[in-house]
Amino acid sequence: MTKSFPDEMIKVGSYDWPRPPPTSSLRARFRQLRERTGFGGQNPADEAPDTLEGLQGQLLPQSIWEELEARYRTLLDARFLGATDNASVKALVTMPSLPGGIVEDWAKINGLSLKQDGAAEEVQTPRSLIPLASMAWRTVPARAAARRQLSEIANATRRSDSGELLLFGSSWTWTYLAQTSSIRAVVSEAYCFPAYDCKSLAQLIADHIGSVQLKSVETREDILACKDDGDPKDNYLAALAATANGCPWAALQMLEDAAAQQTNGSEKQDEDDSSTENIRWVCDPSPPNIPEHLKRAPEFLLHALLIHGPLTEDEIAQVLPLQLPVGLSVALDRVGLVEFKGDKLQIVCRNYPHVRDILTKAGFPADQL
Amino acid sequence: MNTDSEALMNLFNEFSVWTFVQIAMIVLVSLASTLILRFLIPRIAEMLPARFRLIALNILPLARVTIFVFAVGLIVPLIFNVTLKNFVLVLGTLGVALGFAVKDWATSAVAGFVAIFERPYRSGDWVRIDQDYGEVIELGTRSIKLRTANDDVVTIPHSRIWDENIINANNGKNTLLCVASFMIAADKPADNIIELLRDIAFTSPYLDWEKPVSVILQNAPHATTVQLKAYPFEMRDQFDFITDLTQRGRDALLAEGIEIVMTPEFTPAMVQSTG
Repeated sequence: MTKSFPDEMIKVGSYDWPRPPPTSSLRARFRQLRERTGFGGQNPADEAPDTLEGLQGQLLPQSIWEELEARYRTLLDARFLGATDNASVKALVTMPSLPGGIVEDWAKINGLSLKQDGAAEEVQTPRSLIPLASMAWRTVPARAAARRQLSEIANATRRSDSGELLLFGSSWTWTYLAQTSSIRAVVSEAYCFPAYDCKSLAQLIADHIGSVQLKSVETREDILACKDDGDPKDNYLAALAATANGCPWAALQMLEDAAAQQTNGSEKQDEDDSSTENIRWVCDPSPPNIPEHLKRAPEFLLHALLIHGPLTEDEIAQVLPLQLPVGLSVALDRVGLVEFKGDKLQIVCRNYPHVRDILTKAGFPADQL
Repeated sequence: MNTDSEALMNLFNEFSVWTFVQIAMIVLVSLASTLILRFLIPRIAEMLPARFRLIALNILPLARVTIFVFAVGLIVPLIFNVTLKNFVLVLGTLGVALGFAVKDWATSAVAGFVAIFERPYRSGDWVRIDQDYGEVIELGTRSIKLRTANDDVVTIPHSRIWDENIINANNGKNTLLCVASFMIAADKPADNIIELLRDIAFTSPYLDWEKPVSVILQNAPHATTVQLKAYPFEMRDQFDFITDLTQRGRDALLAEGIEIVMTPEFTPAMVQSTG
């Protein structure tokens, strides 16, 4: 198998969104329609053979996450740790499904100073990291402050003693700012991580999964088996890459959630298999949905969380001038779309692709990469 | 006399019970198909992603016309002996009688047929016809039905398109321009009002970021009218959006010390005439 990992960061605007195979897309739409109309809709996991049960332990070893993190750090090093380019402002735009702390840890390791409040006027180090979230706060005073901040950043690039500034934030924060402020004029270049397609995912998983065979419940085929050109024979990974919007973190977590194993002593699924011990079955990803009775309020809340990142109840009230139903956050937590981290509410990383799907279908302005 | 009688006999086919059964079946199947489509399409449209909703809704009038033409095409040969001579004969005799009897209905039906292709309004569009403003919820053969913001359903005959202006707010698109109007004192400073009101729009959860936001100031006889114009991403949120812009806009202006004029003489009609 040829190595097929993306090896450099790409400019925002040139993201290659993986496309689902037509059959998978149609099947997913048909399933959604059945679920909504109540005509025999069921969870894909329910379609698995009776002899399957939830996986004991983890499907993917810790080493796969470590390799992924290392790969991301390498991409960041290559793009942002070259010769210091004074008087420049760059932006690093990430998907919300990227686990928190990856960029911050990389900055810490490489001695970049993190300006939590976003102040650019005290920049002393050669490179500084400034979060975008504070500039995207959707209140009138915060927008005035964001304009001042952008002005400071623009001025800082003119000073000879200023270092390179790296703004970072989620793709939703960036898109909101790009559409509603002059950030594009201040930032010289904006970069994002490239998409992982089915080839990259297959390669990544195969390198770490050992002798375990992954089979699709739907097709009963090995999802890692590849054709001569390196493309997986089964459509599972292509559909997974598309569902995860090309984010390997989300894709691997979805795969983990979809994994099941065959119970001991049960009837064999495949007569050719002499043993089922090394076979793990994967269902189609099962998307969590907003409870029907909650109507539109959850969509506004999810949209706000994507733009602003984790928020407390008070902060939600500031940035979302709507009367939200009592218990909304708990209801969304229950279905797995959001989670509480301390007193802050945030999108569940692995379910971000589903959240994005819900919002784009509802017509909300979405992130652009 | 004999010739007339023969001509009349030649006009019609011979009828049997089976002919009537066939006609009844065609009518029933057509009606059932129309009713099923009328039931299904709006519901399916609601389930589709927002960008496909209007496209799906607009299938209905075309489908209805198709079913109607198909049904007529099947029924006419069952009743009439279709020849050019008979066609002219029917047109001459029935045309005049029907013309008087269903003149208004026919005018509306023809206008409705024209409307399907000319598209002054489509299902799901927000239109204003005279004083009525609402969402087109049904395109019938004779009329359209609008659901207004007060949840009234207004039935308007298609024939109005011949002699009235039809104002279509979104024209088949998924969004429309919303305007929040304010009147401020013309003789007091209003520093940063444009920036302030643009921020109000940019902080609204209903805003479609990809569309422009603008603030228009215009002098009126006793005040300066200020219009904040922006697009919501969902047309059905337009009234919530305008409320949000108006409420937070008013509060922000007051907080900045900008004087809002509250003279009773300023009626909506005056504001419209100045806009």
